[in-house]
Amino acid sequence: MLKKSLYVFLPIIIVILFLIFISYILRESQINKDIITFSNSKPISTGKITQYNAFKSTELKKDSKPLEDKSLPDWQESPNIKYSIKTPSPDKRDSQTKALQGSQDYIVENSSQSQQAETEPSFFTDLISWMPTKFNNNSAKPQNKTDLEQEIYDYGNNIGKLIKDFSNATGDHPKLMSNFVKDTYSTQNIQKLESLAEGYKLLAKQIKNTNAPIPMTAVANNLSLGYKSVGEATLQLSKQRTNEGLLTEIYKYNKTAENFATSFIKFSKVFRLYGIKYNRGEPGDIFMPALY
Amino acid sequence: MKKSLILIIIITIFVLPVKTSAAIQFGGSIQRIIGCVNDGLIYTLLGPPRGGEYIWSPTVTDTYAFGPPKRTGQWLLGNAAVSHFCIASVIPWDVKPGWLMMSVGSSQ
Repeated sequence: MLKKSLYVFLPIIIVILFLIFISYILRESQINKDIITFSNSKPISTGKITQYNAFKSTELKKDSKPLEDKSLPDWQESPNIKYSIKTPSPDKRDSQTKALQGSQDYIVENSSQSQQAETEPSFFTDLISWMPTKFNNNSAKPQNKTDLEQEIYDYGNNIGKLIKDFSNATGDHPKLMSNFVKDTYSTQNIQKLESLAEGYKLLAKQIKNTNAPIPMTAVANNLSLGYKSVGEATLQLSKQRTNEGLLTEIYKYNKTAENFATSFIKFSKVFRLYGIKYNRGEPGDIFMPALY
Repeated sequence: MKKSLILIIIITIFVLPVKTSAAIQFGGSIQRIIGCVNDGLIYTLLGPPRGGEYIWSPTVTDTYAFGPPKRTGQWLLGNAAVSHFCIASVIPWDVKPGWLMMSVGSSQ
């Protein structure tokens, strides 16, 4: 009976699994293809959009002209920021490429597009570009790490695990915030926000209590303070009941969150400075760009 | 029959790609985009594979090619670590919380 049913179901299973696999590859490669330059570029400075790309440089500048006429009905243009994209001259592009090549970064060599920029495209490189990053990821742990690099690597994994555990335990923060904003008198909404605030404070303590390698002491301290501040701002938010009060606290909260974000980015950049790379799935991968 | 069903379930569990549940890394196409009235923020609602509500900030977000979110259908990929507020409108009251993008790359 089992054999018969296996004969019937096995081909179906194989076909289904094949389709799932193909759809997974397509889904991953869609992101890789569309945002391919993300892994091959670096911003010139945090928050300032100036120029990006090593091989197909684009430049964004503040401009008084509106965006292209392709805007869709549900797109509301931001009142303060308008950009236009222009491609710089080949000379400028070369100089940018050289400048970027010289910089220390955690960009990896597995971007098929970057390889194509240097070598002739081939069947092999095309095939690589179709593979999900999970399979063609060359960004293994740095070989022959020094003691300090190993210490930083382990520390990143420890902190990454704390943050991921916190994130998994507290769930969808925007959803909690959204529920609270819709009904500021709901005891359940208030309690959830309060427990989120406590979670932030606890995470701040855990980060503070984790021994940081010497080069990371300052940034780790700032990260811990950042989480603590976000926790306090969240707690203040949970005390508001009127839209006016909420509006004032939202501005304060946003300012705190942006300061925290700056600390987080600085913290992440220390790993780049020491050439530390994390594979996808490792706790420390939250300090790497999403596509690497 | 039961055994074959169990076998199918086991095989499926082992073969299906595993996604982490942490909302720290995101990626998906923009389904909705709104320019906020506060601080030049841009609110986006992303679809699968790793969707959700995310907010781009001109002062904080490390923005890679091809610039900030612009239109629906555009693909975004990045990291986020803390929630943020986009004020879509004060009257009527419309506040949209979302994850603050730490870094983002976008399609053209």
